[in-house]
Amino acid sequence: MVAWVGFVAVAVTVGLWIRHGGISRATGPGGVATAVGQLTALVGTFAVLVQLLLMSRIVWLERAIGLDRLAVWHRWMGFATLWLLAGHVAFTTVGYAQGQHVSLWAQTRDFVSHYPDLLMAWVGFVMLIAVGVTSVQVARRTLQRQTWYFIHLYAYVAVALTFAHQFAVGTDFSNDRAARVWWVCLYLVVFGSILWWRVIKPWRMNLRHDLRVHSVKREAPGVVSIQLRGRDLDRIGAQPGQFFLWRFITPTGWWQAHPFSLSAAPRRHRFRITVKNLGDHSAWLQRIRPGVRVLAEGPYGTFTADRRTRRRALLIAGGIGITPLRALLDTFGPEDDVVLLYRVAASDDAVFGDELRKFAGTPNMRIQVMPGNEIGDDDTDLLGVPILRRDVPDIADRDCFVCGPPAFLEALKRRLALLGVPRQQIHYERFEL
Amino acid sequence: MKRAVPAVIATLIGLGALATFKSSPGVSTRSSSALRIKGGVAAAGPPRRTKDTVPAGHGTGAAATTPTTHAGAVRTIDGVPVDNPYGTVQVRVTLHGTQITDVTPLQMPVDRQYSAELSQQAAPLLLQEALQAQSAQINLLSGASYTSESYAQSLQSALDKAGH
Repeated sequence: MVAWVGFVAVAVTVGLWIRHGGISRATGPGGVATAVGQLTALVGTFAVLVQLLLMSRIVWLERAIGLDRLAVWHRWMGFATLWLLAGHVAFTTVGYAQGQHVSLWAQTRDFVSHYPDLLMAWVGFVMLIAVGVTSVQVARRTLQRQTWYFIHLYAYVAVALTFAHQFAVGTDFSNDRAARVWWVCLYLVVFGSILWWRVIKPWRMNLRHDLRVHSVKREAPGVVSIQLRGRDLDRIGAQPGQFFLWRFITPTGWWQAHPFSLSAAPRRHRFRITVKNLGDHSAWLQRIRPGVRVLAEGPYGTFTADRRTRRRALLIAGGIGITPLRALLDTFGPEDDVVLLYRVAASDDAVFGDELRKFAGTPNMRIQVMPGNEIGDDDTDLLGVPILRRDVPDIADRDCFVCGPPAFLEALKRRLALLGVPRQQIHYERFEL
Repeated sequence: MKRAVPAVIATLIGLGALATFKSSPGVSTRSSSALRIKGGVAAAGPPRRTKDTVPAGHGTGAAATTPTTHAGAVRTIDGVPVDNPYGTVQVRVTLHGTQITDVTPLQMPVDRQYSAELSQQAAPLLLQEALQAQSAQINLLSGASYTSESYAQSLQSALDKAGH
């Protein structure tokens, strides 16, 4: 459904170019370049709007695709967008320069000094380049996440700056009211969504439920459980296995939102999350004080009990991937048959020891903690194919819920497929946004 | 986080400066490419010459000069409206016999401020071109190629109607 809407919107946008002459406008010196410049302008700006939409946290998009996949698409789309926009700048400049028989530099100066809002557009373009350059993997490794995110927000400024020239000089809009209406509608849909899902909804949720940090409990070295208390949390409709984007309102934390799964079934006045020290923000959270206000965005995620297709289940946790699985344990009853395999680097790293022991005491629930730092290959690993086959002989008849770091996840997905578990019985949550 | 505040302030100052920047259309007769009208009949007037040589028997480019000889009465003919991506151009030509003495724009693109400014700058320059060329074979104005083209086409259609 989402794909169809997307295709139609692209078709209409390209249709504008065709309607105004398309490639038949490519006459005279520089004609072809100018026509290509106009097409790349339309498609490139459309791509920018799609980029923003992918990150707008619209709940239907999230249910259909998932925040983690949306983030991956956003990344790839970002580079495509920049190529399109660079193409627009290049082809339009070349086209006009050829038409007037001047150099590219003279043409650029002509654009900036004689055409309205083009200097702004250039500044916006440079900002988008900066956003793109800082998002390349090499740059991400050297930059602090905060710095990268700050620069990334300039994309909003860039979109605002480049808008004016689209209507002031864009030949697809100058004489076509319908085209202008279409364009403005696209912008309204995107910015309306961002305003609603990223700003208004979390604010409303906060006003209604008033979430605050209640207590912080140390589970293991570098791992804390944070209890959040609030009003009428059951009305939010969160299910075990789901996660929220959490924003802790302190002078340093207010502008970042990070995903953490609920690590226990949500209760009417209580949410619990469990955070491992893996970076700047999660390190900071280890020492969060009670009383801090929390804005929650969500619930997100489809890693839930209603995905089950049968009575038996196998839960496989890698490291801190135990968190949503621990919440899922709360959903099983005496008639279910559950096996939990909990892989940790060392046995000291295992969390929820007491709680897991209590679960293991119930019939039809088997819990195994498997310490081992090395991830071997499919045959030799602690959670390799032979061991899985031996320990869980009926594995192909179970719903498998897997959660952990990316490499762990990929390996387990592969091994489950090798063991003949049907695809619709494999459910996973990628711990990386 | 500490660098964020100065960065935001610098950005706001930069944006403020940007907002004060004003561009204006740079319309001029700098262009050296002569216009070719597709499918139009070449006017009976002389081919385009530089400003220095003035063929005998014809007035100079200035509209104020009264031609020495003219056969036939004064006629004003309206050209057809010609569309371009920025709007519509329509001109009215005044002929003294076979001599173009005036070209008045009836319609020029004005629906946006940029178009209005540009049309204002272009109109007198295009008139000058037309009077010098004594035909619709005028030079494209630099910075106003669409307007020049449409102007010339509308002018050509008026000349065709006049049998010029």
